[in-house]
Amino acid sequence: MTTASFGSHNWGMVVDVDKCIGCQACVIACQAENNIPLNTQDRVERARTISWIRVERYWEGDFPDTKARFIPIMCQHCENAPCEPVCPVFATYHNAEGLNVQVYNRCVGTRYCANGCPYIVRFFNYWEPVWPESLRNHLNPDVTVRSRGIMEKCSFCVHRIRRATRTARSEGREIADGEIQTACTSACPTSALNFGNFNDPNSKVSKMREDQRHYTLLDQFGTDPNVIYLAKVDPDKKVSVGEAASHG
Amino acid sequence: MASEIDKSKPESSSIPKLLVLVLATGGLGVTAVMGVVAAFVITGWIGQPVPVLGFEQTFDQPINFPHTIHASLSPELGRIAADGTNLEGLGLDCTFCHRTVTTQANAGVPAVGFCATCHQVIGAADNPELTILRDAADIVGDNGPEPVNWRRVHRLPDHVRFVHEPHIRYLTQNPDVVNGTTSGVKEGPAGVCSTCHGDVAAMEQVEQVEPLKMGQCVDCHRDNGAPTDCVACHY
Amino acid sequence: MKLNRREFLALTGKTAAGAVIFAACGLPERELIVQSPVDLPEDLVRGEDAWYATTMGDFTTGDGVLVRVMQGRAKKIEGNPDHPVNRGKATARYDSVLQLLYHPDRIKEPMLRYSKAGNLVGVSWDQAESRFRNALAGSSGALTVVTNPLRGHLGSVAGRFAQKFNGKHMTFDPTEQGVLHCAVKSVLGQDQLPTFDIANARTVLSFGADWLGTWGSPAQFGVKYGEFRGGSRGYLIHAEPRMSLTSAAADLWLAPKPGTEGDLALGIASVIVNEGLVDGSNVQAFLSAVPGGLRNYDVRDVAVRTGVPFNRIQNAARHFADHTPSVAFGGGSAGAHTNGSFNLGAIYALNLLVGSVGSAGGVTPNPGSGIDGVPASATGASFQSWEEELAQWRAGNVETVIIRGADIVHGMPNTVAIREALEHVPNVIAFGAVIDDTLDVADLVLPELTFLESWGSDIPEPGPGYQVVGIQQPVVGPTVSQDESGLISDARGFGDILMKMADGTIGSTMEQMVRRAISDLHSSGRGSVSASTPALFTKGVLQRGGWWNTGTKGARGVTGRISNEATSANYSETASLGEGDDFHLVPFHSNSLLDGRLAASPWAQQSPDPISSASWSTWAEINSKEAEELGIKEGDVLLVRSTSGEIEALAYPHPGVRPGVIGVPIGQGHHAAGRWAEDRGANVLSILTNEKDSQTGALAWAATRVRVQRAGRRVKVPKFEGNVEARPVEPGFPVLVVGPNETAEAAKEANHHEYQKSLFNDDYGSVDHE
Repeated sequence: MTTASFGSHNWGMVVDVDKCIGCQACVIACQAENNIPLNTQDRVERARTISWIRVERYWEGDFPDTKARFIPIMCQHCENAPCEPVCPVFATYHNAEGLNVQVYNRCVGTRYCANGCPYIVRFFNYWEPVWPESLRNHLNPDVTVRSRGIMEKCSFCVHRIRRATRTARSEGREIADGEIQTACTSACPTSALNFGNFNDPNSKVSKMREDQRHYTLLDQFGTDPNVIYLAKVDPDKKVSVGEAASHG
Repeated sequence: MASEIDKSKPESSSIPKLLVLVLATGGLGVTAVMGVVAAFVITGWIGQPVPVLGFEQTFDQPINFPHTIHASLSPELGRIAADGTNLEGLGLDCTFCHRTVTTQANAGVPAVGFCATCHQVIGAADNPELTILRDAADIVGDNGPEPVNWRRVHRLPDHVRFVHEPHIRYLTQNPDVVNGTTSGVKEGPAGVCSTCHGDVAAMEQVEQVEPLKMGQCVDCHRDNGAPTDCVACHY
Repeated sequence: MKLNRREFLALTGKTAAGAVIFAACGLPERELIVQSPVDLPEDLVRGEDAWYATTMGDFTTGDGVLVRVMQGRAKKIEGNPDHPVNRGKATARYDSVLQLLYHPDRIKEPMLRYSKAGNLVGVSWDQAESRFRNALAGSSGALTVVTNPLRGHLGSVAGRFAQKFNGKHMTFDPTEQGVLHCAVKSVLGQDQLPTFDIANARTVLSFGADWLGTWGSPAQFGVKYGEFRGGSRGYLIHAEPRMSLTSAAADLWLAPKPGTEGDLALGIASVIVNEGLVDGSNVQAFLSAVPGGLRNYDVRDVAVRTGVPFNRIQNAARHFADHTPSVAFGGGSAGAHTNGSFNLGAIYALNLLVGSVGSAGGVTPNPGSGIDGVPASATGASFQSWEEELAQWRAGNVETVIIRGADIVHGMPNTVAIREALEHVPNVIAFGAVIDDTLDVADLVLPELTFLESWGSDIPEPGPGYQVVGIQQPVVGPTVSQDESGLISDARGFGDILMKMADGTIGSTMEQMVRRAISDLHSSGRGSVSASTPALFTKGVLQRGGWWNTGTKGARGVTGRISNEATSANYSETASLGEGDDFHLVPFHSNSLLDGRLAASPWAQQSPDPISSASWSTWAEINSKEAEELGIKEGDVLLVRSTSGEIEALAYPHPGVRPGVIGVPIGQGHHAAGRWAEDRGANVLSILTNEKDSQTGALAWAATRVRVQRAGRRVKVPKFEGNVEARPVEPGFPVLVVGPNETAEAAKEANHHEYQKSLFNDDYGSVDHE
């Protein structure tokens, strides 16, 4: 019997944009899980908010044909990540499990990685995170509270991955498909967000990414993300056959 | 021009000898202090800092809990009978009190109620240390139940996630890696604690004996084929 | 010794593996002493994380949740995968409740005001209780218990307490659903809200209710919506004057003039009937429920009245009739008009036309309560009865008012002058965890336990189509602070205090009541948990977070007729309001604050609104084209004035609002609500006028017309939009839209082609990336 061993997985996410309703459940779940500092009004106005996952909203068309399109965007955990080679202290690197890792205790805060990231999912701690004493009660003890001057970003809830790996190893078994749920996938009411192992051809995410709607963000940059999106379906979209397609 | 320079010479040599002496001793003193501080910092960087100014590796605990009596089997360290003769220690397994060490991240400090299961009966009624415990467990006194605020001896930085369970499992399966021994006969998981904690059963007061720096962790991980990925411990 | 205080709390087995508690957060030493290990059951002392199942109290309509607890501290709230309502999923509001539990401004002790003009001063529970008893002694027959709509045991306790003192139990919901319940009763013959089988429907037609965001049971509906979009993809049609989450998710968005939803529904019906799209028997059933027939609802007339283009109504009707099973439902702003009962009646009657009442993919009835005497359905008392009640207060006929979970001072429109009415009540006793506007004016303030610390039950509404009883158990103990100050709050349960004040005549404690109910369920011998002994059964129920019985389904009711007392809506007048432009005010629930009950939580405050991305403020959504014509720019401070008052809101123009409509979120504008919410934004509820639904007397909260004027100031809207710069890339980034059966590859190819063409033609920009 094989047991869960380090490096035998390639973690990834499949986001079905067609199911995303933009409800923000993932955003708050992530904030609570990962001890993300409060985005006070001042920080919102100064555009210095931190949200490891965000739901972007795009407008299309004018009234009455207005469409609001939502898409959740988090660290894409690129196989060929532009943030990694620019870090002078190797605080960010790609590990054997497909994660783009941020090592807080190595980071010196040059912010080169944030400049390099085309998805803008890396956030700098401009301030020391502060919670009133009583609110510290709900801090998650599994996740380091980042101090001022370092970068942070979505970790694919690596603490949950570590924990599940540990449990599986001590029980002498493989990690089951769906056993690991990140905070966002666990909260997502419509199951637009799905997390799993791309190395397992039978996993839910591996099957989902075979869908003909699959695409990745900014594939022209060659970043090879581990987050796969499934396109939004518009049943009333006019699809022209042939090359000279046009819409809008 | 030259005469002016010559003139200036007597002036410079007119600094009182006393001042020179003071400055020289002062300079030496500063250098010495800097040297001591540097030595402190360097030792602290490499291993454990020199135990001064609150950097001791051990603390006085709210209750002077003797691991020797509880965990050791050796007569020299064990209990003392009413007639003054040495008796054997109890030789309790480490996991008797630190119950989650084989299953969880942290070894677990027992609740006061757990201590009280034995100590509401066992131990002299006038033992001052046990009185603190019994008071905390609400057996004596009228303060109500209260926690005992044990001070932490082995402490890793906040950005390190150390989990006992896999370490205990691995060391139990690979006894040749186990470093050091625990006083008394310890089999199974309790026999491996000494690798990082030293012979706790022989300590009157628990002390950190290994530096427990990242270098030590990584060396051991390398030697035993454990992951050296940063995210194995830092997240 | 409290060693066994919580041995009965059953542990649920989600992921109960270990965790590093000591090496975290920079407070490891103190982590050890946050709660006396003497008080804690073993499993918590050891630093394992435990997941306890419970229900969400006042913050959902009966969702089951799991709370992660470590060292006696609640860390995270997630959906309970076993629970049939939300099936493990969450909304954006779950975790925010944690911050009410640990709010730094939580009420620490009972507080008493010795005279109406005086300040609140801290008193002991003994003093508070004797004050409470004194108040009760003189108020037989002159007592009113005010709560939010309560299902479950707390509802029955509040009702019985009021009864014992010959008083009244009044429920309050600022956006009351009384019209909805009434319409469901009269058209479908159901006492409880039915279940909408969205998952199995191929077409969903909804009106007014933002069921993916804030209306009803969004977690339940969200799960169903996910299934609806999978497989053979269903088609969603939604009618609402502004772009809500549901409008955004819709494949076809109809934006009728506010108040014409009933017209629209009957217009759709008339297309279906005229084109003969459904069976004659269905048409008969439908027409028998519509007394006036469809004579006045020719689709072309309806298009004019509703302002929805004729071909869109036609498309909606054809989809609804051709792609069955289909389901129609509505609520929210569609029912909040003077003709609300007609609107909702017409909407629910559409189900008769497509034969989807009681069938898969349609409207399925819910059974009554699984526990005798415990309400399974609750709604706010009508505004009309509130006006009558407040007249009694003002006349000095009410001695004591006990308020819990209902922020009436914040939630009532200015027209009823609630503050002044409360001044005429000698004893205003209010319960709450964090101060709100009502507690702020009470004579006796009693700190209340949150749902995470107390016992209770909840019967989900709408349920899943069979009997469900959710059980609420305390998952954390009394909240002790980490510093030396001791208790964060010396709070007690509302139900427990009421029972104590009634001297045990209505029960002893909530815990005992809930336990008795569980053992009654055991003796019924039915349901999801089977166990040989009552003790094991109780454990099983607590572990799963409740009890459900798929065997007892709802019965189909007797179909009635829709109300046709008022078929067209009346609105408040604006002629006397001075300068400005007339708009129709559509208030909507904030996605994170709801009606304001979560306003104290900083997570809820900072959570961006899904549509505007604004946070920490009150904004006003208007159509961007219209704003341009009126010269209104984003961030302009707008004075929004109705006959009952004026508020300030920041303009946020966007293309997703019907011209002539101004949408303002509910939830801000508290005078007192803790450090993060007080004096923040504006309270749109205060400027509502006293228009009422003609049949039920419910507040027509979407029937207010306002005059809007620029204040001459402009500030930055605290929004997330633009925090991340848009990259000038091809269309299709980041949201790629494909047509039916189109591959992503083909769509990208087409987009690329168009982009290249636009580089030469210089007409790129048809897709507005903000």
